[in-house]
Amino acid sequence: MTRRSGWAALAPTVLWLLALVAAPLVLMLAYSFAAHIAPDSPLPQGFTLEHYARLADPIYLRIFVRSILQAGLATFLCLLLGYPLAYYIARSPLQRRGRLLLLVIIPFWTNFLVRTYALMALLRAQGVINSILMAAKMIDEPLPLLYNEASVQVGLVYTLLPLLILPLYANLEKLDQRLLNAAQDLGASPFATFWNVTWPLSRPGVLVGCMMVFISAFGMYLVPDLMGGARSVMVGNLIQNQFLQARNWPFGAAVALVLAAVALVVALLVQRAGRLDGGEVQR
Amino acid sequence: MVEFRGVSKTFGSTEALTDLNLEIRPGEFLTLLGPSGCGKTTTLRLLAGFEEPTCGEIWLAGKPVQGLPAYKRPVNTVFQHYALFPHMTVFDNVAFGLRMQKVPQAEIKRRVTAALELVRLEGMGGRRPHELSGGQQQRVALARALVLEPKVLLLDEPLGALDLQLRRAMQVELRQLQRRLGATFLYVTHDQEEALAMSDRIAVMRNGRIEQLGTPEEVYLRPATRFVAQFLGEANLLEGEGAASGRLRWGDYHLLVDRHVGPGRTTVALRPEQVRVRWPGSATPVGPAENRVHGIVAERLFVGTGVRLVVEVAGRRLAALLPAGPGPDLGDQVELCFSAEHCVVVAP
Repeated sequence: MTRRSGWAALAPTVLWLLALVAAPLVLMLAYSFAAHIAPDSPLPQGFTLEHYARLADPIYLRIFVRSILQAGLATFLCLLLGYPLAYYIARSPLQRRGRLLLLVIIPFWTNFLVRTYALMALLRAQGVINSILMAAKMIDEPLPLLYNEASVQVGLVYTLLPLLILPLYANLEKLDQRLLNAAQDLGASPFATFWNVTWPLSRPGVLVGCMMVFISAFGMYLVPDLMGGARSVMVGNLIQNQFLQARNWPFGAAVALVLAAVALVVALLVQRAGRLDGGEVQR
Repeated sequence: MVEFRGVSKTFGSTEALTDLNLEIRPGEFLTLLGPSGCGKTTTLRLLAGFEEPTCGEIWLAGKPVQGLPAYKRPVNTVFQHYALFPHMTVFDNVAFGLRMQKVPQAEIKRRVTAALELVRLEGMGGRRPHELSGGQQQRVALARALVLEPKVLLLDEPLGALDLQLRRAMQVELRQLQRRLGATFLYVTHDQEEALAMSDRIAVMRNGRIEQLGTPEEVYLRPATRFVAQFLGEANLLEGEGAASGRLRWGDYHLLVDRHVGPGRTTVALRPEQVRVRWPGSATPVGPAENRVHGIVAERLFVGTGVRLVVEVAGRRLAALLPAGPGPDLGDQVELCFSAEHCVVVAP
């Protein structure tokens, strides 16, 4: 294939990306600096930094910090739950691996919104869990399982766990069993083998998985919106609120761009850490 | 040093080892030789602790090792594909076992440096495994295992991935190292030349059993079974019947063989290089009490160190190795001479 025909093959993709990714992004950028918006023009007018300056307001800073903490906690919980599972799947016999991976992926077949409502049906005051506990006379009044920070965590971890499991599984599956044998042979207990061989060699997978979970959790709006309480507003909710309720597109655009910038920085950091680990880690 | 007592191992319905009895002496270089699937690697893995025997006992340095996990056994392995830790430097690879034993830092440094010197990798400690050649990686694997001063060093086809020249050089090096350290080596290979060149004793294995255990000379010159005769080097197998005289009736010939042959079918192994060839004009002498058979040269192949002839003797074929120099041509009438002691009766 010649160079020219190669470009020709790429052209539809490039056009697609320019029209539907680059152009809206540029528009958002323009909005975030807009002094005002004319009702009869789709284009923003004027130039100001006030929307970015407004982000320094403690109210918004707190939302950002809370989002980072929530996303960090969700990432940590996903790692805690996902690592053993990914490890177990990767170490299973070949035929069983496919079936187990399918179980991880199946939730994607159902609409995200539907799954979130299902989760709420489980956790509500009159939900499945509380009804059972009440019927069993283990509690006198329903437990507050929904509309708080903890339920947001439940939703985030439930939703994002596959994002950690899949890249980690891909990494652990490649792990050379012979290296584990070698470590044992040299006197490493199962724990020492894990800590000195498996864990460092799986770090690229851990980093990619954590990055995907963190970035997704950081910008997540549906879960905190439906499952969170009044105080569990996250950045995603702030953006949604500015665009749909407050109708302040410029400020919403500024928040969205800062969110994107944070995600980008995280991705770059992860890439850097991966390089420091040595790209040669797996043969 | 090591004793296998009636050890069997089955994987599912396949029997990998059947009633293995084997003693490894201290300071010995013992090789398990056989084709793939003969049970040699299973034997090694049983001793290393990666598998547990289905029945039987394994003793190491006077103690049974049943139920002891691999990481608690005082043996170390050099793996076939080295299995070096890719995320660690050469130094850290060699230091791994010592760190697991919580050896003091200063001593680790001293012993790792000494081990790297032993395998002639001084100054390579800071490299990563992927920066080394195959031969160097092999030596790191060796140093990593030797630094722990194991009671027995297990080597699982350690030279298999190297090219021929390097393999030859490493054979010599390994053997010298083993002698110098006085260490006990249990070596697994399917390469008969390697086994013959390096070992104090060879256990030739097949289908989960030891076919013959002996010095390289014994297993090569006095093979006990057909399989051993054919697996180590080339052998003519002469099938015949025991005659009343105690000789072997082979076609029209009554051959003298290395022992008195009873009645019934008997197989005799004869190495091509033990067959001397006489042809018109040759100066090959005939010894006393030698077997002499006549035939026609059917194949003639130059093999570098000599000429390999296949001679048809009354419809049967015999291979003979002729030293380089003048020899008969294809179709020539020749006489083959071989002594009784080189006709070794083998079990089927």
